[in-house]
Amino acid sequence: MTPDSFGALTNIIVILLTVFYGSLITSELLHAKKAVSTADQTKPRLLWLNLVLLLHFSVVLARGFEVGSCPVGSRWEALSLLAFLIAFLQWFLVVISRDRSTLLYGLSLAFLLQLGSTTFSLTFEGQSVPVLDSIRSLHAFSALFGVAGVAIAGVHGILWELLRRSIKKGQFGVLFNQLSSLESLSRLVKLATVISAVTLTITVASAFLLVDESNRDRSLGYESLATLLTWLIFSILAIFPRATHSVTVWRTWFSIAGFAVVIFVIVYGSLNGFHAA
Amino acid sequence: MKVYSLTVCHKVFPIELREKIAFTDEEATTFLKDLKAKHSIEEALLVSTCNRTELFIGTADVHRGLTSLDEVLQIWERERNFTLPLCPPPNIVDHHHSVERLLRVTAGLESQIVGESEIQGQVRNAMNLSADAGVNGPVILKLWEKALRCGKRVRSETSLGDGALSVAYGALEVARKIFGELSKLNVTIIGAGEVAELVLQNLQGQQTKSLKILNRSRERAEHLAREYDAQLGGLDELPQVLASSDLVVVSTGASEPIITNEMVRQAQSERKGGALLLVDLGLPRDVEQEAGSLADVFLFNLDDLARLVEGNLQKRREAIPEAEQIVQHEARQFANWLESRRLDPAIRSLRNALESAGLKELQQMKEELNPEEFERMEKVVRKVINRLLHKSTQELKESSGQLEKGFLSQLESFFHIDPKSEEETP
Repeated sequence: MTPDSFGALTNIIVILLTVFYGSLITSELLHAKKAVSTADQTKPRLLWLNLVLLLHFSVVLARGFEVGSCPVGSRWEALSLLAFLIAFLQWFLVVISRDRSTLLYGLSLAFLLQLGSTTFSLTFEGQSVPVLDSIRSLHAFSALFGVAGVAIAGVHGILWELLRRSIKKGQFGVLFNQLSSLESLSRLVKLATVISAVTLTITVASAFLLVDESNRDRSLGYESLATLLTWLIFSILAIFPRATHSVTVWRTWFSIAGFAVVIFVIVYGSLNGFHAA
Repeated sequence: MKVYSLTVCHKVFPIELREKIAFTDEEATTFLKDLKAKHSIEEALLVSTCNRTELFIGTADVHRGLTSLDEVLQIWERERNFTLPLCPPPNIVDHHHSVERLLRVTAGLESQIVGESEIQGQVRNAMNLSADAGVNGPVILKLWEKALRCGKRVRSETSLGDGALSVAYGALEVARKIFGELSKLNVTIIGAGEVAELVLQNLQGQQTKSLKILNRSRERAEHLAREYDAQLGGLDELPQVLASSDLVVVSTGASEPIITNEMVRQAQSERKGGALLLVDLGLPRDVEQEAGSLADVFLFNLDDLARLVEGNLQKRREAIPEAEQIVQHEARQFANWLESRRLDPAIRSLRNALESAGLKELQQMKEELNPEEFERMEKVVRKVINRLLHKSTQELKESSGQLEKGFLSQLESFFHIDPKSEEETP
């Protein structure tokens, strides 16, 4: 396969994935409109989502084998992997909690990232990408997994806060009807927080190994500092039990702050390249 | 076979009249038995609730059916001592509208509270009464099955039955939005009046962690606590109970708020940050409005819940066209089934003719076969005929609605079928 034909194939796959995520959002919108009742939410039918995730996973895996490491060497690869991890985490939360009411929002985020990946993929001209060794691969993968966890925690945190305000003000609109309950959302925020804390811990640990073995003088980029700060906060949040409403309020606000950091990391990385690249 | 009905419902007739026509289960069974014995009506279904008394009959003789319904009305007037108004006239409904009528009634489209589900249980029970009286013939049974299926589809495929339509149930809907499940909640009801009882009725069948009733006078509260398996307490326990409850519904009729802002603040500091849902169904209000501004406190009064109920009602109204489409679809299916029944004698006759021809041929070989072989061959002949006819009869039945006029008589004459003799065959 020539580089040209390879590039065309990559672009086609990346565009196809974007279209598939778009169709998932459409179907979720229709589902949300048609079945607001909890009875439907407890029976999630996720066949199409499963297929898209499987396809995306195969693409990531194939690209990983091709480059011989975690496929994050270019922006389109990093964003596409992040989109996959966010969609995967959202799927995981739906399966665990049997609460489908937030699927639309997680998938929308994955769609936006996949769209970003498509944009970079179309302008990608086959520049050589660095091959990462196993520790760097682990570092990059766990960092993106952690970022995905923070993003999902943030999305659920925002929804929790919006639902809380709508109930408090007695506004029984779309959010009141569509979202499951404050209790369920708070459980999902906590779960996403724990997942991101664990994966970011792996990221930080592998970063120390990388600093030891290579350039000690290398300064940390803004996105690394932001990620380090997020890891600290999320590790503390993960330890706190989900005992009271007040703790949930705090956790939610930190999740939202974490989400803001994630947006910064993604934008910064998209403009300047991720430091792993 | 056609279906006709007689309808006395809340949309046209006042409660004074409806209550005179309403039947108990026992009365309904006796009435249906009389209908069979005195009017030769073989198939009937009587749906009698506080909002309606509707009689559906299945008959092949249109004149006899309509006369019977007319006579039934006169008997009701005579025996139950009332006179139906001439305007609007009592509703004797033709076949097409009767079929749709039962489907609409079961779907909750004709209910006073649109989309209520109780009617499905009442229609289900009506067939038990028909069975007891021996008037559960195939047509009315099929219509009843279609009606229940239609009701189930409307509930699962549309939002006609969604959302609370009473403030008491609305309070529980809000509780579910905050706490997820009611089973983990400590619930306290303050007051023992009608509203409190309504809330307890809505809570019945729902698991809660604990249920407590607080009231000034113990007498009425004791009765409620016994009936709904709740703990009992006095208003002096209010501060402690507030600190340990997740959901508090209050309706006392007191002239001043009995739950003050300070009391809630104190309770919240004792419970260390857990959410508290206060539902104030009292008029004048029983909870100081400022309590709702505390961080972890959700306060709802009658107006708030009325808004929730109105929103749900609107959603139900919007779902009506969708529900009506389902009714139309099920009604069409029933009409096709009814039409296909006309083909039954012809199909049965065709099957018999083919079978007897096959078996006649087989008889000629009887001496050449031992009994086991003969029996096996007999089975093979029947199987082959079944296989030959199965698909074509199925398709014929499915398209029975579109068959040209005269097709049936052509089929009958082609195969020398006498429909009368076949109809007599059980």
